[in-house]
This record gives sequence, C-alpha cells and structure tokens, in this order.
Amino acid sequence: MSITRKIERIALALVVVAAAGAAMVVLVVSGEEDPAGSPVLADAGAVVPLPEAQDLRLRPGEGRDLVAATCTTCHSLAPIIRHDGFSAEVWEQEVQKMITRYGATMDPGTAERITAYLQKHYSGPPAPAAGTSDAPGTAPAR
Amino acid sequence: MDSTAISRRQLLALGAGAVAASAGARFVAWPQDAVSAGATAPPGTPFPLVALDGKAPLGQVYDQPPNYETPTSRLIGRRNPPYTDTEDYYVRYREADVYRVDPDRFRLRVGGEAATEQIDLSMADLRDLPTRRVGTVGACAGLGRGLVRPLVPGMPWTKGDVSCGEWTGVPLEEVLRLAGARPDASVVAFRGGRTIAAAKRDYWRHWDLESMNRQGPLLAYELNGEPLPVWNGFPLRVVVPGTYAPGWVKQVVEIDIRRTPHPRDWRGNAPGTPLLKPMSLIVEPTDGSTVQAGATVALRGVAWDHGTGLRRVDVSVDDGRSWIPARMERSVGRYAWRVFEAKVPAGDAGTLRVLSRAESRDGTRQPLDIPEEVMADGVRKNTAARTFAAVLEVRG
Repeated sequence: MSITRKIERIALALVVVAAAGAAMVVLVVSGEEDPAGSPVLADAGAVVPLPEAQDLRLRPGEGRDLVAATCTTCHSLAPIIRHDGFSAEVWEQEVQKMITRYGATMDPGTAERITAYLQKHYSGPPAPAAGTSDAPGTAPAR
Repeated sequence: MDSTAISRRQLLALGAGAVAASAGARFVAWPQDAVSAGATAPPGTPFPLVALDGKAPLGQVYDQPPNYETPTSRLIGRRNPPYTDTEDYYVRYREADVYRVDPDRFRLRVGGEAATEQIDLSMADLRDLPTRRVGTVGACAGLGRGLVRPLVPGMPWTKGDVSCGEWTGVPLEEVLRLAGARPDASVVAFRGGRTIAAAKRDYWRHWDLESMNRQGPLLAYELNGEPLPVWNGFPLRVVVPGTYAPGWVKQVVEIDIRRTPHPRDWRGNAPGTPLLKPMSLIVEPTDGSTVQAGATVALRGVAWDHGTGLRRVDVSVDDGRSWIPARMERSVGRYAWRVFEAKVPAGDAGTLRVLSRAESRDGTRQPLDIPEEVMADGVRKNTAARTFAAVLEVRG
C-alpha cells in the first residue's frame, strides 16, 4: 500500500483533505529525494498504480494489527506471507534489518512484539515450492 | 489435467492463500485456457498471475514493492523467439512507489572525480548519440532462491526472475567520453532516480570499469524495439550484457566516474563485474504438468552463460547419475540464451524430476548442489541443477 493511498484510506471521512495531503506528501518526498540542483526525475504525483495482492491476510493473533500498521509503512504484507517458514532467528534478524538497514522507526518494545507475532504465526513448515517440496539438492551441499 | 488437479497443485504450491486468490479476486487471473477442458499446462510459477498496467499476467511475488516473475511458459517469447516478449519481461523494483518519469524533463547527470566535465544530458541528447542494439539475458542474482528449503532471507523468486531481451541504447563509452573520463578512471557508479524505504537510501551501484567495458555496457531506452516499460526502467536504464542484473540501475539519473569505490554502493561490496554463470532452465513442460507413464517426454529449455559460449546442455532423469545430451538451437547472439530440446522417458507413475546442466566452452558447468559459498551469500547466483529441476507428475 503506498503512502498516499494509505493516507486516503485513513482519512475516509476527509477525502478532499486527504487528497491534498497526499499531493503534499509526494512533493515533500520529491524534494527530499532530489537535492537541489540534481536532475529532474519525475512529475510529482505520477505514482504508477499497483494492483494489490488479494491473498495477503495476516493470521489472527496478538500483534496482528501492530504488524499490519508498522510493516506496511514501506511495503505490503507480501514479504511476510511469502516467507512463511522463516525460523525464529531469521524473523528476529529480519525485523532488525528493517530498522538498521531500511530505516523503520519503531521502539524496542514494538520490535519485540512484532518479532513475537512473526515467530509464532509465520515459522511453520513452508508451503512446498512449485512441486519441489521434497527435492534433493535444495539443501546446501555437504 | 482437470481443473480439480490444477486446484490441488495451486494449493500445494501456494498454501491456502491461493484458494482465496483464485476465488473471484479482481487482479488474479489464472489463464482461462488452463482451467478449461482440454488444457493441461500449469503456467510455470507458483505465484498468483497478476497484470501490471501494460504488462501480461506475471507471477506476483510481491505486490509492493512490485516484484513479478515471468511464468516459465512465457520465458521464450512468441513475437521474436527466443527473446522474451516485452510484456512478459520480469519486474524487479525495490521502490514501493514507482514513478512515471516525464521524458522531456528527464536529465542524466554525468561527472565525477575522474572526469573533466559535469554534463546533464536530455533524452534527446542521448538519442542523438550513436546507438547499439544487443540481445542479452537479464537475471536477478536471487534466481531460484524461493525453491530452497529452509527458506532464506531475500526475494523468494522461483524460476522467473530472468528474461532475455534485445536492448537499444547509447554505448556507455560515448557518455563517458562526453564527460571527459580521465585515463585513470577505474570505477563507474550509477544512481537510480528514487530512494529506498523509510531510510530513503540512494540506490547506487558501482562497477569496475575495465571489466564492465569488456561486456559492452549501454544506457538503454528501448526493449525489443519498443520504449522501455516503466516496470523495466523507463526512460533509461543500465544494461551490461552477460552480467547479473542487480547493478543494471533502472531510471538511472546520475553517473559518477571515479578512481575509488563508491562509498554508498547498495551492497557495499568491492566494485566488480558479476558475470553470469553457465545456467539452464527447463521451461516445457512446466512444473506440475502431467505426463503419461511409459511415454516419451519432449523437453524444451533455455541456457546461457556470460558470453563465452555454451559447449553443451545435458538432461538427467536419474538425479545426475547419467546424462542425455540435449539438441541446441543456433545462437542468436553471444549474450542471448539458447533454446535446447531433449526427449526423456517418463518412466513409471509418480514424480519425475528432470535435471538440466549447461557447460560453457571454458569448461565451467552447473553444479548439482548449492556450493557453501553460494549459501553463505544468501543463495545469490545459484545455478545448482537440483534446485532448478523440472518436476512432473507421471500418471499411470
């Protein structure tokens, strides 16, 4: 979900205000991304519409809403749901990576709750991939 | 295969989510012919088929940022085979919001410590320069990562974050010359037009100039003779034939000509030129297709390397104990993939796994299993034959 689309959704009752806000967000973002004097990149607001995935619903459980709200600041739920089967360690590393590498802003308590939700609900055995579920050679050579 | 079987296959491949996806969802469009009477072939991706604006339905790995893999059934295009049709060319963006760039306002800035000039070039300027057209495989370094268990971090692509296209654009050397690149220039870094995630990190990728130049790099503005789709980098992107594509910066807006590594390279590795390893993929029949016990199965696939030239491709139905030579179609260009064909026995009812293995003229060939160093690197540049096995159902 894009930032602009999210703003529009949250402010359902204030459609006009939301649209104006979205336009401003785009302008601000452009200004931040294009330091003065650098080449013109894009028309403000010309975000290409993206189809949203229809199969992305987080499993119910404590922390689901927090995960949905926090993680979709930058990306959809696909990176979570498509990685059903990450180990507990990998989920912890992934949340930390979002903070340190990608600039996600969340306090340690939030990070902990998000990690706990992902570990509890998305560490199951992964769905087999393209019929290769029990494929020899999908593990590293020894 | 009847529709029940396809549903079961989708369920197996995707988990319960696929059922929700295929039940009347707005964007999900499994090809109609795949579920109607008489159709047999699954599309060749486990992900829901969704069409971006101007694109054919592709396997939606992520919706946002947009990452779509080409179904293996569409890797070999129909208009100018073996090149992938433009609307089927895979899509890989790190940016959650992709912007349409106004080509009239677009400028490419070229300069740096190892250049005498700093210049801004418009698309018109670039089109006035000499042009070159080159066909090449473009492959994500994460090809096949999603086939590996247990899952490892990174995009879970299966077999479709690869395509083969004919690119038209300006040879990079022309642009470097205009900026007065000095003889001691050793590194070239490219910046994409948008920043990534909340950190708003610039997307810089640096290359070793000398080894990159051996591959004939260009700044491309056409794919298969058509304007670049925004999904593939409109209006201008880097193309380095015979190399892995993460450094083929899309919507490139700045070129930094340097004597030293770029301090903000995305991965932070030493500048280099990541040459494609010898690789092969069986594309027909697609994974999950049903064949008859005792029948002969006609296979078709694509194989490539970084331009050395392929010596041979072999296939195996006994997990690599014995190999059957494939017939190679003629090469259409040193960096383009070659189509191969082979016939193998289906054998008894059950699961048939067919391996393929390409060997380059320099003797390099695909390994059977994933080497430790490839695992340690997040399963990047994996070419293990067992990872990419074609998996067919043999019906008695």
